[in-house]
Amino acid sequence: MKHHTINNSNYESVFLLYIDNELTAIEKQDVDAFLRENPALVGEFEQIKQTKLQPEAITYMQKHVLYRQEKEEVLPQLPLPQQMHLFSRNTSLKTWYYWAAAVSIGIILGILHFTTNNNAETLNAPSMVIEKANLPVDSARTRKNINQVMLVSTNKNIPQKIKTVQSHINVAALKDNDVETMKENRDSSIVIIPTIAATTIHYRENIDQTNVIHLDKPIITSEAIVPIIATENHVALVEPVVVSPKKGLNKLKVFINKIDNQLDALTSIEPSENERSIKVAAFTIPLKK
Amino acid sequence: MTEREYNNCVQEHSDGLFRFIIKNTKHNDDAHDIIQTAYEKMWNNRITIEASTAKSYLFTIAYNCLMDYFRKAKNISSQAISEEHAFSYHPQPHDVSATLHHALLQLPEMQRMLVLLKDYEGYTYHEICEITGLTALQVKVYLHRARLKLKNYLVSIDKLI
Repeated sequence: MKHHTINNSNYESVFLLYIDNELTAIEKQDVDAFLRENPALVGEFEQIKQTKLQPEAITYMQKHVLYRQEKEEVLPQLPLPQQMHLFSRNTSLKTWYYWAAAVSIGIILGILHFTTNNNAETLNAPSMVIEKANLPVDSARTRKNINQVMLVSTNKNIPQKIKTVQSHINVAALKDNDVETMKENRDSSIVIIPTIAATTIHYRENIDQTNVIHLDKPIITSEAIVPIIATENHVALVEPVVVSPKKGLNKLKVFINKIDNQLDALTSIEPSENERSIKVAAFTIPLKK
Repeated sequence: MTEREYNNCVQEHSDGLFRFIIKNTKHNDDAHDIIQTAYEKMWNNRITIEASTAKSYLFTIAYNCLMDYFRKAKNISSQAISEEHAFSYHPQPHDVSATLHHALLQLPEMQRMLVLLKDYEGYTYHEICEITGLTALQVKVYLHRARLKLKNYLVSIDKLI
């Protein structure tokens, strides 16, 4: 940083920097010493000092028009019959309540999974994977949907039973009617949070980094991600992941590793061909401040 | 930035932002339009904005809106605007603060905005550079010219009294 040495030819400029609080402590001491040596300049220094405005207290009376509330967002072009929703009390809710909600969903998933597993092989519907929404970079639509992903149908060599797992998630989720009822009855502190992502990750294969990126956008938030992982034989909740915009991708890699480890812990046998894929659904829960 | 952080920004920064805008536009309705534009943009871009930089973001938007505002205002008679919508100040004799605020209104727009950013909001030269897009030298020169004009104004009023 440039040191401002005060002398008779530049004192006015240095006085101004002093008033603007742009001098270091040592430079300010130099100015004070200079003024002691040149008392005739004290008057000018004081005049410049008077030009500093004292802030006025002005209150903006229309703050109410600036306050905003998140709207419930729906994933675009979602081919599923209903979306998975999680309801959660707003940020004032206790942390244990989040966990209770998450564990409840997990239990329901497990029960439904085992009760309907036998029908899995009869299903012939396509499995679901995530593909990035291909929208113009600068369009308003892109900005609006920057944290959204688009679900599309595909039959890319994914075992049919995986479809069953996806169905379980949907069955376990709230139905549209339930959501509407909840909206009508809820108090203002209850929010409905849509699923932010659901994808298939191929177990014990190289993680496709494009899939990781797909999940990166939705979790750029200061909220917790509570993933549910499920194979045809196992359903589990993984520890919530809290991510920040800067560390989102790294956090996600850790998250993927956790899923892998969790699955290892759940399965003591080598995965069969049908177990080489897992389903991951994640939803956000606002963290308690 | 979350919804909560955004609403905290409304609570914490809207007064200061409105003060910065109204001191420049001198017109209530225009100030309302600009502050609402600034918060609207922040809301629409909240995903990419860190809460820690939200205040600077708001002032940057407001600064750019004011620059547009001044450009448009130049197409209208500035005298007419001044007479019709002047932000009323009635400085009393010997009241340095009121005289100073009156002097502030006489400054060119750019100098006035920089003085307000500096004195009201306490931004450093470097931060003002980031908000306005000016160079450090430009900020320094504009501010120094403004201070000297204010000083001369105060001195001249003193002599009159």
